[in-house]
Amino acid sequence: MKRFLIYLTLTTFVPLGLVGLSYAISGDEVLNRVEASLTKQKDQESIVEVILYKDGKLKEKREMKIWEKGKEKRLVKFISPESVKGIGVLSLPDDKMYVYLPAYQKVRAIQGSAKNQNFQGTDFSYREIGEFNYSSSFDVKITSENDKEYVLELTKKPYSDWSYEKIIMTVDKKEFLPKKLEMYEKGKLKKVLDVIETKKVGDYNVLYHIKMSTVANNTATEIITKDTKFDQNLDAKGVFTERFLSK
Amino acid sequence: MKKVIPSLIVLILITTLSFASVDVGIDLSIFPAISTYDGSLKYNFIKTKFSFTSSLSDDASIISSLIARYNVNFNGITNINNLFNVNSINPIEIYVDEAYIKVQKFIFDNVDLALGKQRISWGKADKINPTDVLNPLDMFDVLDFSSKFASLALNTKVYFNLLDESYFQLVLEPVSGVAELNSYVNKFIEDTIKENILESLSFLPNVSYSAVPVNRVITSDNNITNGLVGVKFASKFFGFDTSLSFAMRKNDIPYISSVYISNDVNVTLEVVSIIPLVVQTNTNSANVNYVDYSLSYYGERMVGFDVSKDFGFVLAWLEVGVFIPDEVSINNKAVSKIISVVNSPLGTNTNIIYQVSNYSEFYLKDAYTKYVFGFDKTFDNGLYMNFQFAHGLGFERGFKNEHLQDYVILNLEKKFFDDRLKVRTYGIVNIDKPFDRITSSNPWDELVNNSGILGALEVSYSPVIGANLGIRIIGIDGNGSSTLSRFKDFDVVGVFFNMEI
Repeated sequence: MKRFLIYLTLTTFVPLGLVGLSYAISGDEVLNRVEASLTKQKDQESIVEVILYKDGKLKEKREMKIWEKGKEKRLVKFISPESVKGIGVLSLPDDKMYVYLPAYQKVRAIQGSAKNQNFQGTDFSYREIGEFNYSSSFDVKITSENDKEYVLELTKKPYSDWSYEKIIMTVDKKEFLPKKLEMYEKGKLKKVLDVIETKKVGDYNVLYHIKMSTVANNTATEIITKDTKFDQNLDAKGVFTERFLSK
Repeated sequence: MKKVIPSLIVLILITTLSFASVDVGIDLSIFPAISTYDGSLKYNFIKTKFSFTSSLSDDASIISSLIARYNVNFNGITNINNLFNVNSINPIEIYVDEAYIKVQKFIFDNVDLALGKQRISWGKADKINPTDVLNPLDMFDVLDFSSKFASLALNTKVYFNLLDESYFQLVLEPVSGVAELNSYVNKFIEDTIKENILESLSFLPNVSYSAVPVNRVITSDNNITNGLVGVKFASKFFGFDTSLSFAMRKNDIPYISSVYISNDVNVTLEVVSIIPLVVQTNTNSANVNYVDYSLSYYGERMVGFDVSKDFGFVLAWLEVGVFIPDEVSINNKAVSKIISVVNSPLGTNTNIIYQVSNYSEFYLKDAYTKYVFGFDKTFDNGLYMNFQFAHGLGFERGFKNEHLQDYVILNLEKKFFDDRLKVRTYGIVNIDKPFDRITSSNPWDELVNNSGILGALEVSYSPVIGANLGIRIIGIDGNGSSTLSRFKDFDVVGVFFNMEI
């Protein structure tokens, strides 16, 4: 009997200890619920303030307009100041991305790894600006949890051309909303995304105030939502098109 | 200046009377640069672009811009009267860059319309676009081979829902624009004329050329038949962005349509006996002392195709333009004043004979094809690379001295220190008729003697977003008939400052 109990203990708990703790929900499910909680709305149109910091000091203020539908359709355009006005990025399914630069009056596709470059001097990359879509490019596991939050470890899938190898994401357990993301590149912490304020507008969750910091440069970019509208049938209005991008 | 002030007033009125707020932007560029050969100022300009944008509604806006170029040189000062004139001392060019109304969903949801003076850029390649023929070239900056002026145009796009983002575009311009040339183009034209004249007189043992050419430009009549029509169909197929285009216009760069030559031919004859008459020619020389040429514009049609695709590891493009020119001839008229001096035992006899010869030759007849292909890539470390191979630049045409040449262009850029410091280097290798050189009996010498190279380095610092202060060094060398050999005195070093607010 004693031998049986030792055997049971070894076969049941040791493997669990080796693979980590067993959770009621998988990492994939948590991430999917996070992304789903941010894309409940049919579509969303927001005006945001973009504030750039260097060494903790305010460097520049800008305004952007963001249109999004689900995880894969998004259009971002600067509306002020004049030096960046009209510059826009269109993201479409299958990782297609286009940029419009008013000076050249041309829409150009963005080449794969260029999507990881910072968007017009901000700390957000072309991929990250106004978007929250990690499940298609990262494998996920839960590394810890407490009564308030999950901590996920996202590991880049082999085919993905994201520059981050690993992301540590802290998720609010109650609303399934992200609280913090730490992005690692070449083994070093590169960027940190802090979700400073989330708001519930009707049934929909909005990341109202976020801050992306680039550790090595000591720079940061805050995005604060000023106004937002939902469910305007943006797709049918032709918003997610090159035509609208170059408008 | 008299024309500028009303233009400015109209621009401001158009934008302010639109019952909406006007966004004003200023784009300032300063670039003084000196030649490393002799310290001469090759660039010394300040360019300011004032942009005015007014949104009439969600779908309509008025866009206008005014450019002021201050090109500091004293070429306009030739006598004391010029010193009393502020325009000679402060040479400023001011012109309306763009002024147009843009309406999306014009009557129908799938129709966009833009009317007015506007830049309409065609082509998927990067800056070197053979199909970009809807606006005339601006050669103010000698080394900018792709800058263009806006043109007065009606520009309509009709979108189709059948295919992903497909559209048909129609562009109508009442007048085909003409390019702004520079002194290098002028020198090329006059060198070409001189070369052709000397070649035609090469049967004479002694030929000299002392002419200072005079010229005239014959522009096309202001008639709708001399306007421009452009059509384009663009679509996406399997991830490829493609378009087919056609344009009919007057080429924006003039060609030499006629040359009038007047020259003195001196013939000295020595008669050594009377019967039988034996004439011995001692000298036989010609001096070309007057050349008068005309420049005109010819019609052409362009059939274009372009495609680009993001392959993930690179973004690649191909752009092709087939140009079908009108049949155009150059008319040459040579008047020779033959002065014969006959020395005989009976005395000296001087005769003057005028001989007129007319001939014409085809200058333009055959179609020619310009193309460019290339790719760009941003590496994981942030290094940006752009490679292009171009057969023919914007100002080149497929005939005679202006035939198309080949260019390999590489551009590398990297930003440092939080994107504030940018280092950019670019180079061009230019070979004239590389295939002919390679297949010649002495390929290496032929290649070296008919090629050119340009290398440039820029280091710029951006203290605030939208502003760049930097240094630019350009070195050019070239031999023989290569295009870059024309600019080999253009080794410059200069500082530049750009700011957009």
